[in-house]
This record gives sequence, structure tokens and C-alpha cells, in this order.
Amino acid sequence: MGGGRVTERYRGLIGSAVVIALLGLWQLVSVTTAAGRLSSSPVAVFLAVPEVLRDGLALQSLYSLQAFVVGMIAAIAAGVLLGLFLGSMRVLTYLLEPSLMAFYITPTIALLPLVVIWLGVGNTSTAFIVFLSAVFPIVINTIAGMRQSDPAWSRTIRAFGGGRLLTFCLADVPGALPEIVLGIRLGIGRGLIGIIVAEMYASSRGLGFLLDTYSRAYRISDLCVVVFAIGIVGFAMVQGVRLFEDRTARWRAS
Amino acid sequence: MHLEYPAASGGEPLVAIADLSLTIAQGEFVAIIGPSGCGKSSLLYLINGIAKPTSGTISVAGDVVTRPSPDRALVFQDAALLPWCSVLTNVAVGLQIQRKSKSERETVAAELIKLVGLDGFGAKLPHQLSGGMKQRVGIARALCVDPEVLLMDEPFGALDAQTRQLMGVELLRIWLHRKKTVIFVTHDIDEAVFLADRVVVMSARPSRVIEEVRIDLSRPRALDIENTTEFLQYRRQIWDVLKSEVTASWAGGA
Repeated sequence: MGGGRVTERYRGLIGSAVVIALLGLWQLVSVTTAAGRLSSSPVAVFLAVPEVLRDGLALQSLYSLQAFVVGMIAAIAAGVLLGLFLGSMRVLTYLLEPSLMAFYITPTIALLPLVVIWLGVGNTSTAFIVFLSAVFPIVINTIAGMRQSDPAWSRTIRAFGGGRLLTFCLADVPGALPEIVLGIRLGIGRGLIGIIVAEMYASSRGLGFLLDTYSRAYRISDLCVVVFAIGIVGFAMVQGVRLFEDRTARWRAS
Repeated sequence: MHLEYPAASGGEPLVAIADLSLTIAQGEFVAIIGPSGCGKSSLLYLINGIAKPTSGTISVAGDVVTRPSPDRALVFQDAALLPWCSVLTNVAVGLQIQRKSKSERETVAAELIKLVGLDGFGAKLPHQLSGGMKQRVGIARALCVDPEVLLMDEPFGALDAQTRQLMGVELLRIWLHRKKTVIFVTHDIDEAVFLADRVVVMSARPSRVIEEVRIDLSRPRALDIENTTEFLQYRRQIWDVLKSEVTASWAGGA
């Protein structure tokens, strides 16, 4: 597949070209039709950047990032540990998987009003929402990774005299690692939604709060600057994890 | 020695091995041959200790086997390498389980990688190797812990005919370097006669030893030995015994 290889090499270039083309189309539509008044345009968004920076984009980003990182670290720690623990005990998996699955499917952002009642308005609530959004995909995928593990791996460790702990460390965990990292990537995506929505409703700082402020003031171009900022940061984070994921899953290639 | 597997639901337990008695001398190369499903693999798992006999005992050098030990190292039919570990790490895994230092592990493993003819492949991952190379890694891994007994469970069963013959020659060369007791399970008569000092023929399930044939072919053996009259005589002798058992095993639905 010679053509496939060429396409592969220029993958980044092709993707970027489409983004630029879409921006061009947007500019064209906003100039030629009435939709422009309600949706801003790429040029207007670009020109609004200094204003949003003056409003404290950097500081608000830092504030969001802080709550996000705290929530994510807690979600990764709890999610991976719980997943490994449940995944190594078949009975526990059977007992708890339906509940975990229900939480996984429910948008946990729906719990926001309850979280605000418990923890008040502020970054404790927003960090907790990030945690709730991210932890379930991580648990579910870690359990799935443990389940996929080939019995031959643990049999090998046992045949060479390894006990339970060694079997766990040398066979079960490394075998589940690609799924664990996948869970973390999905968790990051959900956590980003969590932090923004939580800040819109339950915080007086952060990017979500900034979005809310601009929306109330009909400052559409400024609002779009924030949306782009969130998109770029989120894209960078997910791509970063994906690189790591490819490395952990290298052995799956066949 | 006796091994039963409990019945799945209420029926008679499956008697895999009935009253089997076998004594093997130190440094001897014994091939065990029998119809498929006759419990040959189970026998190796019992000697390793990863499976436990329902009754009877197994002793190696006077000690009764109670649990798996690297002293009785297994080479699996499917190689069973850890796919995320390099060849070097796979070979050294037995030493890792024994908590040997990293430098010691790497020195010993590198030596064995050389012995099995995989010099320069230490950093490769299993999926980058051919079937024959994977089995060499499996053999190196078993030899790496310097076992008393090498238990080989149809190690070349999944290889094509030519690779299989070459691996036999290779195994004898390695065996000359490290004089281990070898118990080699196979369903291939030629392979058994070519490799072994003694061929043990097992019956269909529940399995017993029905014949033992001493192979007095001079060593070192080369592939063309398979055309000598002695070789063909041994082959016919074993086939005559095995024939009825294979038929019985067919009738039993194996």
C-alpha cells in the first residue's frame, strides 16, 4: 500500500489543512451572511485575544488547571488501584461491575448540584467533579485490561516459582497497562468537560467562569477565544497521553 | 501416581493419569509419546509442581515435589513469553523471580541467548520473532535458572516440519553443553527417536506407561540418522505399540 504510506507521512499536514480550510469557510460565511453577527469570525476572534488576555486568561487557566490536576491525580490513583484490586478478584468484579458501569454511563456532571450542596462553591467542588468524571472510565478499563490478560503469562510466573504478588507485578499489571493508559486518556476527556461545566455553575474563577461571564455579556468573540484555548490545551493533553499509550501498547503490534 | 480432574457437574471425575510409575536417571534424555489428550502435558505440570497429583508422589533427587520450582523448568508448547518484555528480560524472568541482581541476570541471560543462537536479538520484543526463535527464547529462559530437570511440553509442535527438525538438532547441541535431565513430551515418533535415550509410550486416557524403548543410537546424532535401519526399526517398534492406542483415543472422541 504505497499510497497509504504517503498519506500516513503527511497525516499531520492534511489534518492542519482541513482546520485552516474550515476557518476560511467560517470567515466567508460570517462576512457574507447574517450569521456573522451571532457567531463572530476567525479574524474577530484573533483580534479579541489581547482583550481576553487583559481579562486574565492566563490566571484563570492556571486556576482551572490546578483543580483539574488535583482531580485527575486523585482519579488516576483511586481508579487504577480500585481497578487492579477488583480485576484480580473475580467475585468482587461480578458484585460491583454493574454499579460501576451505571456510574460510567451516567454523566456524573448530573451530580453537580449535590456536590455543591456538600462542598460549596469553589475549587473543592470543581476538583471533585473532575474526579467523579474521570474515575469511572479508569476503573472500568483497568478491570477490562486485567480480564484480557492471557492465563499463559501468570502460569509462566508460577511455573518458575513466583507467588501471587510476583504474578501480579510481573504478569497481571504489565499486561493490563495499555488499557489502564486508555482509561486515563478517556478520563482526561471527561475531566475536561467536568471542570468547565463545574466552573460555569459552581465557581467564581477559572475558564468555565470566564465563559459564563462572556456569555452573559454577549461577548461572543471573547467567548470563542476561551473555547479555543480550552480546545488547544485539551488536544495537547490527549495527544501527550496517546503517545505514551502507543509506547505501552507497542508489544500488541503483530 | 494418579491424577483426577473433578467432574464439571456431578458426573464421573476425569481420570487423566492412572497408576503411572516412571523413574528417570540424572542426565537422561527421555521422550514421552502418546496419543493426543493422553495426559502427557499434565504429567509435566505434575513434575513441575504447578499441578498436584490426586494421589501418589513425585520426587526429584530425593525431595518430594510440593510446589513449582525453577529446579524443574518448563518449556511450554506455545513458548508463553511475556509479550511486553524484551528477549533479554524474558530469558532472565526466572532469575528476576529469584530476586537476583540486575547485573547478574543480564550476564547469565546474555550467555544463554548466545547459546541458543539468538545473539543480537536481546532487545527485540517477542512479536518481532519467528516461531522457532520464540521457542529458543523459551528454552533459554528455562536453562537460565540452571534447573535439575528440563520439562519440555511439545515445544516444537507448532513449528513447520523443517524448522522442527533443525530445532531438534539445535536442542541436542544445547543439551551437549548443559547436561540436564530432559523430559520431552511429543506426539512425533521421529522426533522422539532422534532426540531421546529412552522413549516412553503412554496409553490413551486414563494413561499408563505401556512400553519403554531404549534408543541405542550413537551421539552426537545428525539428521541423516533418520535414514538408518536402526532408526527405522525403532520407529516401527514404537508405532506398533502406539497404533492401537491412537485408535482407542480416536474412538474415545479425542
